[in-house]
Amino acid sequence: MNSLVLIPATTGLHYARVSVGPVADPDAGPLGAGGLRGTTASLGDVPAVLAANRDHRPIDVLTIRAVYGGPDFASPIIVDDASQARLLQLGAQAPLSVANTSALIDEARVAFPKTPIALAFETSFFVHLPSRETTYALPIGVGQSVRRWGYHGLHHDAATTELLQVLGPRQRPARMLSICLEASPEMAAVLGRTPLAVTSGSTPVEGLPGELNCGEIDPSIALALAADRTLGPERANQVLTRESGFFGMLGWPATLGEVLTDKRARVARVREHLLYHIALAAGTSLAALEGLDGVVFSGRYAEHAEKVAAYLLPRLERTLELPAGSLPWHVCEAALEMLVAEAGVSALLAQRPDSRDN
Amino acid sequence: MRIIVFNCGSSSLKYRLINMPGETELAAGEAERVGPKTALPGCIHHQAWGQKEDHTLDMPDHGAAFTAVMKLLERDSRLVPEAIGHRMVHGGAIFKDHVIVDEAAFAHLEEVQDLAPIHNPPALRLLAACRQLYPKLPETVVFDTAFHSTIPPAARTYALPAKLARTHGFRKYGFHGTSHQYVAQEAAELLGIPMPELRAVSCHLGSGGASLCAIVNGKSVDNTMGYSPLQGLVMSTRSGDLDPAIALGLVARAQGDSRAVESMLNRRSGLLGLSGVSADIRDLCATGDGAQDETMGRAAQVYLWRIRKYLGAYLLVTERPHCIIFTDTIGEKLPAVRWAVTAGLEALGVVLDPVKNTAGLPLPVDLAAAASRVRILAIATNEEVAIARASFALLANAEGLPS
Repeated sequence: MNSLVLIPATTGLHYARVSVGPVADPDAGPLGAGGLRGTTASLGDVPAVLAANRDHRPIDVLTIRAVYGGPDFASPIIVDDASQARLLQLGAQAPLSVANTSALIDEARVAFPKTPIALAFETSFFVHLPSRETTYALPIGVGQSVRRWGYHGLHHDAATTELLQVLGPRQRPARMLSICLEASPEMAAVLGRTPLAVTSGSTPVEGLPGELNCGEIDPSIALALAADRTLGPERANQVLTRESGFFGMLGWPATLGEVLTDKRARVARVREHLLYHIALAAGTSLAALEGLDGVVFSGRYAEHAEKVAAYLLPRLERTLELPAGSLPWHVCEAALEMLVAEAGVSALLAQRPDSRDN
Repeated sequence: MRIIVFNCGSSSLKYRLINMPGETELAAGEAERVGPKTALPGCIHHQAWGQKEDHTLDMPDHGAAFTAVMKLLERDSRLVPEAIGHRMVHGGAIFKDHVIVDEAAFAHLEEVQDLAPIHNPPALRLLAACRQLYPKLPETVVFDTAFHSTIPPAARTYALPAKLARTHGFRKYGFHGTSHQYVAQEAAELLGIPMPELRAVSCHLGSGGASLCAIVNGKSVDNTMGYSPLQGLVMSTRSGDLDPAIALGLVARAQGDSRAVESMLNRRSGLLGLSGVSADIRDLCATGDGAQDETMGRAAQVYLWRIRKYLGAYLLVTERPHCIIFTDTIGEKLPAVRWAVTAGLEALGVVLDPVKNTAGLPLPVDLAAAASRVRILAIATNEEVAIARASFALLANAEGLPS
């Protein structure tokens, strides 16, 4: 089946025509071969792009990657009026994400009026995180409106599914460390199919440092920045979410891939910072999982997983008293577009298996 | 050498007179209600040679409290201090080690007082009073942050814009260093390992503040507290780690009042905030049934889970440590906490002996099962002795004497 995948980003709207599933369109091919992909300012441009490429093959489902779905959406859905209304009710929890998703649904209904629209939520994988992990130590009434989430659930879900296959049949649920190497990297401790801990927080700002986000900092620093008369709360938020991380430390923009591979001394210091914090997070996962059976990497920079593994694996093995080189690890190469498409198709098959726009 | 150690609170002054190098306590006490008048008058609870006495008097500032304490001691020539050791919470980036106070050091101390606005200013005022009233008495300052000056850049740096971090002094300082260092030294001695070789995870679990410290080769390489004592573990009234976006959201809700949010995160969060009824984990661990108990039980779970996660992190950082050390009120006296945070960590070489853990054995004690690769020690912290040790070492070194 074919899905037009839509991934909102700060640089524009990424789209990709992806064929997935047991009845995949052979002409569409895997993403990057026969598939069509690009970035646009408006979804309204995409039908014209498809036409210009003489791509008139049917699109079975249009799938939007939604960062936030809150506690209501534990799996991908086909959008209807009721579910969109439920989504809008989450606006207070994640204003930007919910508003973006809802606006894109409205655009999609105009551009592809007859095509089912699916939402694939990054937070679905983490809906059932234990409360001891999700809860912040805030006063009753203040803390109830916020909780910890993970924001790369699609990658973690797919990566740990693959690692389970690599590890083979087991008597007890596998204890897995899932490391998503994205612009905002994220680590999850997963027991079988259940996440027990994750590095991100109420927002993706908390956790591991990323290309632009600060990651874990002393809360007093955020307060000090908010109190700084030259900044204030809104500007402080901008600094911590868009001007920190690798960019802030280096003074120039650098991708996670560059930080993991660049040989310059200044980048090496940032790399050391990142790897140290990955190791700390891995240690917390060991305690959460009471051991470890395997490590899996995913995300757009998973091709550089070896750089992380070279630092992390020996430390894990020494801590667990395992022979050097014995801890299984795996790289999940699935692209985000494919994962989003698979989620959309699964939602469609669960609801309206024969629906097509064309 | 008789060293009087002062531990200055915002409205109190604790002191212990310790004879060094033998570490014999000669006198001790606490001045309460120092500062503006309260409903009850100020009082000094003093103890020497096994005799306890209470003295009621007004102490409008720490200088007055200091003067009164010195008068009590000077009644007996065997109790006249020969040096003063001050505890200072925050030494900033300036003080990487403890110091003997001179004009230059005093000037620098004034520069760092705002880094710990509750603790540093009264300590500095006391120090100034001491210098004025007893100018010939040598004084040292022992910093809680000094032990953590060895934390490497990868751990102490925040991923913030470099210039902004430099301008504001944003970096991890770490706290409870005096306690972590003291119990680490005690652990090294107990295990027969030279301190420069010790690898340990020290868990300073107080009834108020709490932090974990990763120690490699006898040196601190990480601490759960950060730029301030707010970061890290869930504490009695402090939130510990928090998404910075939440902190900023709270400021927006408080219409820009950062101080109100800072006060809430330091004084009304943590166990007190979660449970709504108690800031003490001892109350929350002893819960039964019912809705309120469910809330209290959940508060305890969040508190314990955070300790457990950091323990795992530091077990990895220290790579096969010799020991885990539990200290201070909760770490020393609450078996349920020790059990909850170490249970199930056999794969990491950590096995607590359940019988020893609950037996109420005298400290220091090894609570690990025989099969445990990592020893699990409960050691009573003694920050005053640690300050006296550091002060004596500084003064002896300055005079060219063996310390």
